Amino acid sequence: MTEAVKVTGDLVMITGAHAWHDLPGHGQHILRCLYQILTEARKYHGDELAIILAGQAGPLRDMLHATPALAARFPPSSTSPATPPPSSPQSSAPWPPKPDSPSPPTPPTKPPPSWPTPSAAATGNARLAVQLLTQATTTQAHRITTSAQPCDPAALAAICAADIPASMPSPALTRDQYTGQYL
Amino acid sequence: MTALDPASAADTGGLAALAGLEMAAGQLAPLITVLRAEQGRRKAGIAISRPAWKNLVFTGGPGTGKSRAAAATARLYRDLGLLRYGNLIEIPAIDLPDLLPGTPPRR
Repeated sequence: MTEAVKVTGDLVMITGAHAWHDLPGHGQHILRCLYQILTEARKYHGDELAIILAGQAGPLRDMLHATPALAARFPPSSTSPATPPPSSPQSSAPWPPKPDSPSPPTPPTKPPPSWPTPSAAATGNARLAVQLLTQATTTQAHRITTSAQPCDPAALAAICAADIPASMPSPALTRDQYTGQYL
Repeated sequence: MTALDPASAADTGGLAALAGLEMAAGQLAPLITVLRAEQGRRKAGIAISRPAWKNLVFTGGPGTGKSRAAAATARLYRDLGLLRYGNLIEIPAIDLPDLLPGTPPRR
């Protein structure tokens, strides 16, 4: 923990982090320590510590998937610098309507949130809620940072209906995006 | 009333200007936007009870631009006021277990 205090205020990149996967217990002890360091940095050191885990995608994904508490501290916008970005996390197709819901007389301008697709349902309700909140927060942040008009403090902190996504992220892309920044 | 600078809203700390890292800039843009909005709230005196995490995962082999992207991210975090110094410190993962207490011996 002393080492973490020494790098407070800086960005720490841990290179070759996939190598932990070959350690006893697939490096879970180290990941737990990392979780503790990040938690304590936020609590006692003004949240002035940021960490980048760098390495091969497969082992890193497996390690974080096995440590959801730590994975939640790594937002879903993690990146592979020299590879093409995934397609938009927002699915272009609206969700299917509930089977028992009546058809609206006129198509709505924005499809109402509905049940997720079967594959998306496998992610669970909590993950679904986190994904929704993450998307809404990102949209709200984009709205207030690109607004030409000054925002009053209340508007800066409010999510409006337009910020809530009308469709869900593509399930095929969400393995790295299961966890969000609010868990 | 608080105004956030729209001109800087899409700025990703020079990341997009680095050759070959335009895509990384695009991937990081949503997080940067959230962090920028949070800073706007702080400046407006709004307490942030659960700030967004600034940590990232960079994947890819050697020479794919991870260190360049990380350096640009560190500068951006410093410019946003999220990190006091904003230096990039690289630590080989293989050295870290020796620094942590209770690490099992290596195979």
